[in-house]
Amino acid sequence: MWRTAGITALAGAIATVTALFMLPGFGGTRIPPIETVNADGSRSETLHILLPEDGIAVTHGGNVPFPAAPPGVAIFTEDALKRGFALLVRVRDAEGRAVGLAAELEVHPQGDMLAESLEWDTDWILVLPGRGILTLQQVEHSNELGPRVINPTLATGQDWVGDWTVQTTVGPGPGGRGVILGGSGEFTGSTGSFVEVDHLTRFSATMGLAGKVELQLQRKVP
Amino acid sequence: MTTWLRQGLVAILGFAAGAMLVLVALYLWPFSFIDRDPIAIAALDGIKDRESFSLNITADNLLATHGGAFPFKPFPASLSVLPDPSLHDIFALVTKFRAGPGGEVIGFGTELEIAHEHSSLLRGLVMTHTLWSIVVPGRGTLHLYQVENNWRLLKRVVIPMLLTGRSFDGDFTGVNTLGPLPDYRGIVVCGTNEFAGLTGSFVEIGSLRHMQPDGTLSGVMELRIGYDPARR
Repeated sequence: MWRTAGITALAGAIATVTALFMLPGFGGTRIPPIETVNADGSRSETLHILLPEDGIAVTHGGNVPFPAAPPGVAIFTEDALKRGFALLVRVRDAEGRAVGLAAELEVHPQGDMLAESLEWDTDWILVLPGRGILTLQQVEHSNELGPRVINPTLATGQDWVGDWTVQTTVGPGPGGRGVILGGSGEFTGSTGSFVEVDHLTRFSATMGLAGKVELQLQRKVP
Repeated sequence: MTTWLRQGLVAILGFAAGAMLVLVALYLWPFSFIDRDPIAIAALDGIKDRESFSLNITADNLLATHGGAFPFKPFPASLSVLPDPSLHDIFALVTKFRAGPGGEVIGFGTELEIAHEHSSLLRGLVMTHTLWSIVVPGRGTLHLYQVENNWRLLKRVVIPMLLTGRSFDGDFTGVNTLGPLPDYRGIVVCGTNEFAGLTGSFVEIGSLRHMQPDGTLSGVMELRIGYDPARR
């Protein structure tokens, strides 16, 4: 009997050690990137965000012409954050697979960005499981967003429906491109540039913008 | 027949005893990183040019969600766990930041995490890759990266809470940062505008005051940063 107890106790210990070694089993979800290696060794990759279906949450300081979402998300009430904007979205690769999550953080300029073309700072943070976390910086401009898309809706109450493609990035890098700041994992030490291109198809004062956002990266690996 | 029954019972009890012995040993095992708080804080406080950002949990938080791998409840209630299998290991928090513990709100940003692929309960490693992004209007954005290990939180708060079914109320304070820098420090990755070009390290110090079995929690988080070399 003691022999049985000893053998099974050892088996129980080994089984438990094995399970504890395997658990919690994170990190098995890397999706290989769809990217092109350029002649200079840089890698081109485009990430896609479909709106509104990839939107997870959005909030701001109350100066944006659509509400925070989903219902219950608070807005910034402090004076210091009145011009802040934060968006959380799902990110897809060129084949439409959800490959990660991204946050877009903006500080809007003083003045009426819907009345004139103003510029502001935007950060993108991309979390791509199995690959790492990548940070991007750009200066965006409002261009014709107000006069062409948003203002008519606010004036008439009718949704804007159309097909407008615009590169929102105007800097701060050479050629009016945004810059890749670096990150973690396989993005450690990455440099390079990117542009954000928005394809807008609808604007609703209650639902916000609809269409597709592309982040077109040209990344140099160390 | 009686002998077989007795042998079977002994086998079951033996198996359970072996498993329990391992679990108790693991719970009590003195991993080297358990007592990292004074090492990490001394290393950070040894840097002359320091700055601190803090956030009250959850009073300063606007929303949080994840893919299912984290023992927290998404909020507000309109947010659910992300259904995409590829996002299972991700956690996202949007929050306001204060100028140090008890300070005024001066910024906003995110904490984005991926569960760490080398996590292993046997080694006391319940880790995440974490990137804090702090936007301070008028100053710029600062990005901080760390590997954090929440083994102590699991051991001292979560497991007792789940075993007893009772909420945690008290003060559980400690350095969550495990690396990647020596002395249990995270790294200043990059920044923009006023923060552009800065280098240095930081530690995340968590003070948990309340936690319920459903993942509802409250406390204070401090990000203590040392800029090295010092800012001009």
